[in-house]
Amino acid sequence: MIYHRDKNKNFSRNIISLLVLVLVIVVGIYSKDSVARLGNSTQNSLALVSESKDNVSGFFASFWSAIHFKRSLSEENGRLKAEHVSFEALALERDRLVQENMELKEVLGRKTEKKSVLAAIIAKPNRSPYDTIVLDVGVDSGIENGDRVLTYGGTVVGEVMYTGDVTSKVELFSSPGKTTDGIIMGGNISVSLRGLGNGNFEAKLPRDVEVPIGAQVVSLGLNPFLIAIVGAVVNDPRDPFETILLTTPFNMQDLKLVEVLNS
Amino acid sequence: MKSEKSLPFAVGVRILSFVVLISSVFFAPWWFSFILYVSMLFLFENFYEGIFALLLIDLLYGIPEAKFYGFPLVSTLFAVIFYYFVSWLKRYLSFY
Repeated sequence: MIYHRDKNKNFSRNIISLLVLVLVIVVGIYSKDSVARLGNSTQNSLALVSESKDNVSGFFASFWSAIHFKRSLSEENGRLKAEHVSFEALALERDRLVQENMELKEVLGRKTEKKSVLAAIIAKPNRSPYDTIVLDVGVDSGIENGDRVLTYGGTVVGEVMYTGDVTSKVELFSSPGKTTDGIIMGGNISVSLRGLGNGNFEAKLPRDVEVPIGAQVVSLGLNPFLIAIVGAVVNDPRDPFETILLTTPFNMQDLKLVEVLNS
Repeated sequence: MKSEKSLPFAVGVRILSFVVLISSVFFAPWWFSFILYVSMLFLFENFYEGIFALLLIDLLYGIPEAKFYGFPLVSTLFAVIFYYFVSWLKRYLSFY
């Protein structure tokens, strides 16, 4: 027996499919603000879920540490203590330099005050196709769009794009396609960094410019912050430009806390 | 042949699947949610609620990024495309 498909039904189904597709595209393009507002109203649920997740992961972490082998723990402890001493010395040196830097700026009439808010990361970039992080602070904590986000006190990773009442979304400078201007320390070479995702960047410079591996790239302005470190320089004799590959000095996935600098 | 008794069970499975999908949006990487969504499209008829689950990804984490040409509803767009693609594919599969 041959069953014939209802052609009218198929036609109306195709029309509805087309309309839905067009609707999604039109809303996406012309109503970005409405989408953002709707997104902000759903952010509270994310903050709530994040808290309960931390409790569960904390339980498993303490369970694992309880059964961890004692000797390896004591070895690790010794190594960490030695590292701690060296980092403490470095931090003291850094504090002294920062103090000196601020005093010099004050002498020259450019006093700077840093106001920042500590924030916990409740969603990292791997959670979505977007290269964003979600923080547990929002308008209630004085966060505004455009505020810069720092880690470990001196590395800037991105800026706040949307703020909800209790959460905010941060676009990372390393977001694919995003360009950020900076300066390569040492030679004071201006460079435009193009994000490659997950804390990686690339930049193009004329082949004659010498860029040492490990050179720091800092943001523009009176108080520059570290953006990335040069990891490799790729040269091709046929290309008049060299490609500089850079990376942040830490793994993005290891971040837990950040500092939001009020602009 | 479906019996009347199996209806509440089927509805229960569908609700449970939706809860799992929503949870994956909060706890799992985006690609896991997407694989789960496509699998559920094959399992259930007219799985509209899945589109709302993926819309949640855009609302929670999305911003207009350069890599998506500033389009803020990327997950939703792909959810809708896959919804119709799988519906079309199912018409030509002998399992359905």
